[in-house]
Amino acid sequence: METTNMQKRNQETDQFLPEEIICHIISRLPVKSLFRFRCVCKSWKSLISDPKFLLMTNNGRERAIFWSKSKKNPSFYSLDRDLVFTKLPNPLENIPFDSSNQEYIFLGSCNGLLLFSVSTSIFLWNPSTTHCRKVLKLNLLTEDYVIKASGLCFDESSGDYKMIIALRRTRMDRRRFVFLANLTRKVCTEISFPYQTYYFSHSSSTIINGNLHWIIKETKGDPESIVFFDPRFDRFNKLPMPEHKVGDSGQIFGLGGLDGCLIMSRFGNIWNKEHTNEVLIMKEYGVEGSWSFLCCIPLKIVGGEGWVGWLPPIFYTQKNQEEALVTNGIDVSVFRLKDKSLRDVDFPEDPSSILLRSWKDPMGVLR
Amino acid sequence: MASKGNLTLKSCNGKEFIVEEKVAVMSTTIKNMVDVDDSFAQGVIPIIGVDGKILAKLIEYCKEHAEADEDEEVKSEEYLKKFDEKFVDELNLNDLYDLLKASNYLEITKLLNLLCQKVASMIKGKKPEEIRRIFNIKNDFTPEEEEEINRQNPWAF
Repeated sequence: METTNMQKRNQETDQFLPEEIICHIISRLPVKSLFRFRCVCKSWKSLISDPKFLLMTNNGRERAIFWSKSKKNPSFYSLDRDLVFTKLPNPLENIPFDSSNQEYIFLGSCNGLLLFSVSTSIFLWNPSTTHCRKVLKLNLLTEDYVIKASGLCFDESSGDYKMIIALRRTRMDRRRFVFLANLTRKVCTEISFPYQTYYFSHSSSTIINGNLHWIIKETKGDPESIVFFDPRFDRFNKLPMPEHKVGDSGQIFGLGGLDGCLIMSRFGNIWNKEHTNEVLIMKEYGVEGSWSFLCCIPLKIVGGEGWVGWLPPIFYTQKNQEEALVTNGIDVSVFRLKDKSLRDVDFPEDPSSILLRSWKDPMGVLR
Repeated sequence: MASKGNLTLKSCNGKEFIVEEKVAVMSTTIKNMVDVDDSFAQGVIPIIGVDGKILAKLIEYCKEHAEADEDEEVKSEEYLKKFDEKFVDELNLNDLYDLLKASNYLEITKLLNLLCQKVASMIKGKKPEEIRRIFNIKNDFTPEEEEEINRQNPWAF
């Protein structure tokens, strides 16, 4: 039925190709072309502006972004699935803002947009188009407070971008505050967080099913668990964890997403040396029984001082799920699933000056 | 009348092609027709809106790929890649559009992807006015609106 309508419309407009095929073609264009083609006609503009369309068609656009730790002259690189580094211009280059000697703190990423703070200002950056804009000022972002967790997500039902940021006062009562900011409406309010947080993972949040996920530990003796924020209802909740077996350590190194599924890497079972750094995948979102073993990444001694757990794979490289990009916060390597071998990625700069964290996203949602 | 294992496809201008079933069912549309109704497998399958020239091209493509699916050794991945490249390079714009429409209608996913990728790489560096000409799209923006879009930042809000 849909096709008939399209063909009819096609006849009316004398276009050489029906919209349906145009959609297929547009979805394969790089973001830069999309940006330019918004003014072709009204129907192209609405298609290109629709975040859902771009999310549907972002295959292969995933990239990881690394930035250097240098406060004075931070440099930014993106790494694509062909393992090619591209230097990105400093997002604050063309913004009248004094960022000298200030640290750029990554807060989250969603739909190809990156959220970061410098001092008390929060910026949203689209690395694909190099546009950057200040979206919020949060006066609590001073040295009296430390960021415990954060994340950026998109509420499909309202079309709003939302930020969650958890802060803890560094002195006095060490009270914890969790804020929800609606970046579209530019309002920021405190939101109730229903769990204790003995530990709130520093590592950036992961978006799966539209929800934002973090690792928390409620009290000292508890195993770690996964908490998520649902932007449709502005509520926090817990995800079911894999069934606990005797000897499971419960220590989670990090969360990630692979092919739309939530993945976690954790310190595995103490009785099974093979499984020290195991990666689990939640094949069906929210279903406890769907947690499955994906792979084990061999631990690597770092700087003669011991080991650091590998975070879950960032993405598969171009080689059809045979290889994945992994990082432990210090090294960035390509992991071959078949023979469990690790190979270093050649950084354009001294890798030790590169930020400990990387993240991935389909690049570039425009409107 | 096609022999067993073969199907007869008839173009809109009356040209008939006898093809092996494994080649014809690369098209999901034809596969569904044959699966649902046995009589199609015996008789002639009319391919509406696709002329003989385009149908011959479609069959040429499907034949190579069906054979490769069956026996990887005879036709390697590399061979197919070269075949695909040559196949799309030899098409003029009109044939490209006709093949796109036909492969969309007949649901030959592999070919549709190949052709869309070809058009995408053809247009990615072009200007908006060239895009309109290539697809015969009418510019429905006023000059003011167009200027406004070019001024806008690519923001989601």
